[in-house]
Amino acid sequence: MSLRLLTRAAAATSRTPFGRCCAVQSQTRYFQQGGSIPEGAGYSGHDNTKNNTNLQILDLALTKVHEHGWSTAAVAHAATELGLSSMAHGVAPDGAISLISHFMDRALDETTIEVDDQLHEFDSTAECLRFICTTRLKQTLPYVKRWPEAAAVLAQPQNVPLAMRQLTNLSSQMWYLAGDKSTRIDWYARRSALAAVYLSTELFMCEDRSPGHQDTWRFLKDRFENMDKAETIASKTVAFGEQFSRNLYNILASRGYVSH
Amino acid sequence: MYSVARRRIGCMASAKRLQSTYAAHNPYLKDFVYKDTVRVKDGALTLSKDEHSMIDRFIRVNQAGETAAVSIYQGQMAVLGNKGDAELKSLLEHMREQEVVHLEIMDKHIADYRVRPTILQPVAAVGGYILGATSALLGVKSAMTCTEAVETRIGMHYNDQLRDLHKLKYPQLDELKQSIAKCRDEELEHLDAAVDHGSQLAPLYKLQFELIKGGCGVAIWLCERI
Repeated sequence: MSLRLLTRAAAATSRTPFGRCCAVQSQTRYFQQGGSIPEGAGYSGHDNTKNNTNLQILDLALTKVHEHGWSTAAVAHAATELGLSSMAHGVAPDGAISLISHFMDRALDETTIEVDDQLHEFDSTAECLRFICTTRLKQTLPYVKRWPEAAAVLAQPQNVPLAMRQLTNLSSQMWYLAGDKSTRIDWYARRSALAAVYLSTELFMCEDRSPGHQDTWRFLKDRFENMDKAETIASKTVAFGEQFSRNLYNILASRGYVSH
Repeated sequence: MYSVARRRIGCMASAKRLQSTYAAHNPYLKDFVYKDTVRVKDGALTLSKDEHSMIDRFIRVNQAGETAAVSIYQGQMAVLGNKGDAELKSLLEHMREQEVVHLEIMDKHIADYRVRPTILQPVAAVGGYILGATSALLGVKSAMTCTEAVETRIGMHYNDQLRDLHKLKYPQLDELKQSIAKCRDEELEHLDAAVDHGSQLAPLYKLQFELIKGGCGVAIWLCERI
């Protein structure tokens, strides 16, 4: 039974979207080379599941999104294609939102891998960040026709906490990859700014019909310039405030109103 | 009956396992196990989500605490610094400098371990200044009581952290454990210095001590979570 499963999985390989992330392809080769799942595998002594059939189903389900949309129907079709019962749509326990969440996790992981060897080429953090943001947006590109539905599902009240968690995780990971080392309140300012930029660009991308999505990339560039300008203005305001209070203190001290 | 119950619990556990679906043995992605682990220290260490959340909480509250400590001494110096007692001023200055070094250590840990700093960090800075200035306005001995109470609570807090951190056996965590131990030792030195300078002779000593120690406890609880 498992050999049939793997053969079907191998056949399904070429259609899965995330080439380097594809567990299906690699697991097939791994098993064919005589590998077996080590007992208690996992980092820190934690066992992360003994089999990744769930992952295969969800990955294949992402390819079904074009016909069936973000729904349990896509997951059920993926399960039947892998030779499992269509009741296995339970690997996406909350239905559409689980599939969308899986896609977001996958996309972020793929972004991390792809960006890993190219980060040193950039001069400034802002350029690096823009590249990472572009890479992540390109992960959504294959699904751009169906993404508005996903955005609508994410906006449902019961899904908002998960959507917020995913967005903050994404924002934090992107800044981390770009080399952010802030330790004060600007940690929050940076992440919320990037989250706003990313979200607005993703929504713009859904409606963009320009050749090669050049309008989207220009929109992203403009948003990044806004972000930089806002940060500059904020730091200038703080510097002005500091200088102002220092001058005021000196004036009062020279008049004898405060002890110097 | 018992076996039925065990099977039911087993079913629930496997349903829970279905939700976390990434396998660590994927040869393409051996180093990437998303959702369940976090890579810190520039990839030198991979922690599970629970371990990372524990270290995250510890470092977050430590940074807030050191910020508050620096500003407590600043507040005390602002009031007591120009009273003419050079020895007291140099003592306060020395303790403040040591706290600044602690704060730098904690900032480095925040960058290393991908810790979210607490949003209350500016509040801790301002609140510490107010506490230091208020206790100093009540007198030198009351200022020493404030220091003693804060350092007692911080000593307890660091010891609790070390106890929990020693359960994790990664060698990469040794630096963190050693720096927390160093901070704890210096805080206890400050405690001894405060007692030597007459903290226990302050008026309403017990009240001040317990009040400030309780306030520190509340602040620690808040900063761990927010």
